[in-house]
Amino acid sequence: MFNVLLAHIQEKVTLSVGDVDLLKSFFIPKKLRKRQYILQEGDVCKYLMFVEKGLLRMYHVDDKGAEHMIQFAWEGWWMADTYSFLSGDISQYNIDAIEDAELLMITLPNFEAMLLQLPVMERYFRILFQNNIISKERRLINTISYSAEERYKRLVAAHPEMIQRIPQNLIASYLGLTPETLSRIRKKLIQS
Amino acid sequence: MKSIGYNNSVAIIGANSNMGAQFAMAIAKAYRLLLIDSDEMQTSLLAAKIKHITQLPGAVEVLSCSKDASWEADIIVLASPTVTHALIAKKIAEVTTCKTILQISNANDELVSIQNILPHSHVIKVTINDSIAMFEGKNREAIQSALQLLSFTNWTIIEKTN
Repeated sequence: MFNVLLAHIQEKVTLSVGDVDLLKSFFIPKKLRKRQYILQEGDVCKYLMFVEKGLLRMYHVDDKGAEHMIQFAWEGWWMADTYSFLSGDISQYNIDAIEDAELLMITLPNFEAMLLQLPVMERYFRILFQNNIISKERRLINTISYSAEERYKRLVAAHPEMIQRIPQNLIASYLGLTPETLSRIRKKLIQS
Repeated sequence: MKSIGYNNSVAIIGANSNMGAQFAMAIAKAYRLLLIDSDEMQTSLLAAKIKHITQLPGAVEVLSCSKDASWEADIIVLASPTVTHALIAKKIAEVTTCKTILQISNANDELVSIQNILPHSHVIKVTINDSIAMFEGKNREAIQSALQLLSFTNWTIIEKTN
């Protein structure tokens, strides 16, 4: 149940056996079914979630009812509306499961208690937040500097598994394209 | 892609017992229910009755494994005979960390504490005497969750304080 999380943590920091036992006590194990929400717009994001199994998406719905994909998370990824989680303010986002999922969730009070009792996790999350900032900057650069085709090619190169698992219309939304545009790009790339 | 709305899922273990069925019927409109009992046929009948009340698709389901149901649930209600509680607690321990568990019993039943089996869960003991539900627990948030659940029943709710 904690295999993926522990492997992910131990890639970055070292945990003792005692640390592992203590760490486990802070997390809520939760199964989520395909298409089931774990966060809905207007609610507070109460959990920071780690995906042990399955696939989640976070998205925003605009005034016209169109969905805009913000983030996907599969095995070994964290997911939350960080602003809502840390501030306690309501979220503008929805998070639901694209595939049946097994999550490990932590509340803010438990997150803070964990960082106090397991200082090694401070380092783990610092590395994680650093990586997150870099990845967000890269996404911004990709959006403002590259063509639609280049954005798609970069995504395929960085996350080939994403293309296999996530429906094309959701990938199009993530890249800020219409499904038709993405379909044309894919066709062109296959032909070339 | 159409998604299912999120509201807290409650697993009721021992759903066919008097208290389990009463509880399930009372909270069905506000929570998604996962019903578990050894007699699945009877549990399915209870589920059908509840579906008729709620008119919500996916609002109630019958599951055969108490561990799977507890894994999926946010709150767990133990409404089976009290002699089974320790055994069930051992079975679900791994998947109930930081979750609220309502351990329900009749005033005449001997209630074994399961908190030591579930050291990282928030156990709330609920004792029913006629129409009075006396409850006790240590975690404030879990007590709030329990109060919210119990408020849907017709029981008079009293918090037991030491």
